[in-house]
Amino acid sequence: MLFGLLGPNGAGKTTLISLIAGIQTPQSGEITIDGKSYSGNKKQIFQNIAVVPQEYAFYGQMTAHENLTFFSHMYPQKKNDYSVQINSAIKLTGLEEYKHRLVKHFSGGLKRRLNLAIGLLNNPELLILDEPTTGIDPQSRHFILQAIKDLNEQGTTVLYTSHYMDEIEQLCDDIAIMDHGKILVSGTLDQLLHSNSMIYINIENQDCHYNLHVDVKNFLLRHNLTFEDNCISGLLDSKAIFYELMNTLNKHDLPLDSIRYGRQSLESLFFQLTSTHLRDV
Amino acid sequence: MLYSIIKKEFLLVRRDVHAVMVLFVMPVAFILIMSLSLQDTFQQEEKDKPGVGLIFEQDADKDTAIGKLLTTISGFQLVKYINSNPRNIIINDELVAAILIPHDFITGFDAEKKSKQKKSLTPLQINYAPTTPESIRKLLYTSISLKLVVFQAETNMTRTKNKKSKKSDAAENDLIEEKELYEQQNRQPSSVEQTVPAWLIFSMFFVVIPISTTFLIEKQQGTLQRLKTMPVPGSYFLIGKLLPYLFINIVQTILMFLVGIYLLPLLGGQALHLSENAWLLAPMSIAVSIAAISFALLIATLVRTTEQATTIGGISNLLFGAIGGVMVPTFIMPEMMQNFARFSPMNWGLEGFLTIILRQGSFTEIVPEMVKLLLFGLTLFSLAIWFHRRTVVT
Repeated sequence: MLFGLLGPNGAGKTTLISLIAGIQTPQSGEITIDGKSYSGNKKQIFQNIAVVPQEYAFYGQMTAHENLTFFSHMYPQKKNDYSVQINSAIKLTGLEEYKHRLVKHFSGGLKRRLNLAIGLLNNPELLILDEPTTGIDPQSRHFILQAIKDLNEQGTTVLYTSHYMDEIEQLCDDIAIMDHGKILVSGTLDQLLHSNSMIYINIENQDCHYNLHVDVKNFLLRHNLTFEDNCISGLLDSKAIFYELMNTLNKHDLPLDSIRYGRQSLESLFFQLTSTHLRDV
Repeated sequence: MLYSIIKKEFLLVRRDVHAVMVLFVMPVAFILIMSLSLQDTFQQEEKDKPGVGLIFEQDADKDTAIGKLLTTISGFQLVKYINSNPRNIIINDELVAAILIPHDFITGFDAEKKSKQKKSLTPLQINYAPTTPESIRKLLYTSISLKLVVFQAETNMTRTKNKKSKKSDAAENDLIEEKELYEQQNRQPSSVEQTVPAWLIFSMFFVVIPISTTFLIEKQQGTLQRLKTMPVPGSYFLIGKLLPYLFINIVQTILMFLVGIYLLPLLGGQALHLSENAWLLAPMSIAVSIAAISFALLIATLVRTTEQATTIGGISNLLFGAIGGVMVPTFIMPEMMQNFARFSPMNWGLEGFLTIILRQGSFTEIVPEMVKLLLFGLTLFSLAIWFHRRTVVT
């Protein structure tokens, strides 16, 4: 599974990740990974999960290989397995020719790739990626996204957070949108983008303000639709309501300019659920 | 796992030499500056003693037994003159007094010694400069009187001894022997004996800066957060920091004592002398180091910014140093402050080092200071582990 977690700044994504990764303990409830709770199974769970944080969480004064060697030794495994895991992570992230360079001299893209590589050292069953492509060039971004896809195809479950909606749409099968510490919607991407579809109908603007017929007004009122600036908009619960609306408008000869209805973009769903006001904290 | 953490810490230290250099350069500079600046204060030099002229009437008089004895008056810078005018030498050579020693006095004393009979002598004449304070006058008078009493006592004793065995004049002079009691408990340290251990301890405690700085970088960059998602015990992370800095502290100890023993005398200062109990410096420096590193780790786990680390760490060290006798030696402090000094871990370390260097103490004599330092270290290290485990990085 490749699961996308979306939410504006301050929505609680990083806190949720900290809880899932065992860094923080939940005040109530329980987190289980593969059916196991953290209490009593912490070491075993840590052995099977990996977190790639937003920050460049490694040592700039060390080379990429030294960093990978250090972090790989934080997992108990056989001596030979260390070099196998290190080489595999280097290969997957394309760091072969940079592995003996000091990390502080790396570009942003290389640092992101090393950040990801460290997360692969224990061959995790669950990989948690917290905005892994922030601030890098399109080529590095493409490389990282492809690497994540490959990992997922090889059987690694990925929990992915990002502010880039196109990345989520491109990568994830399932998503959840959260705000104020709560999951607002979750499900497969197709389900979420098709259900609760918004409709936008623009009326030809001959006059300053078009005066709707009373039947139309009543219809809009019944289905919680709004009419502002010559535009009818709102959520339609079913396709039947859409056809009924079209018939009503047709009956009263409303001059239509444009209609938008059907699968919406992830961005519009995101804004619809979390609103557009600024969230910087 | 622990080996990898220690290796990582060594790599970080090695690749950021500038941060660590301060731990070596600072104490060397302090030891050199303070030792050379304060050596006259700690041990009054001859040139600072008030000058007194010894005026012999004849050149041969100064080589007689009584003449030699008078040149050993302590507390004054003695200058010999032959048949000079007291008034002139006091003015020209800025002396506090000039002692006129008549030839008759010398020969009279000598004759008395040989004939074993008391004779009336022309007395010594002490000429004071008008500005000489009363205290100096009394001191000089008492010192001369004491020398003459000792000489007379010596003469009487020689007479008794001569009845049993004959000895040379040189051997007789051995009766007046001034011996410094090296084992004396209350002997004050010389400047080098004070500054080398004092500034060494001060610099050992300064590991708080590199330790807290690297710790904060790990915290801020998310490395600590990442390590918390790995199956590595939190205590390993702190132990991994303790061992490399223990090594650095030991190197500091060796370097600072080498500076005291070899470099200071080359620059005109006093040399530091160590005796056969010098091996005790090793356990003592390890105890100081454990206390210093544990203190640094606790600060590192508590602070949130580099500014906080450098301010809190730096000010704490300055306070420990000021209270503990690093900056102002405890022996010149008033009693109240001396009692207060006993609360500073730097003072425990300093007392331990002084017991080894100054008082030739044995292992059992440094045990109380070592126990205090190790308990301090253990308590702070345990607190650091506790705070580290509670630290949540978001």
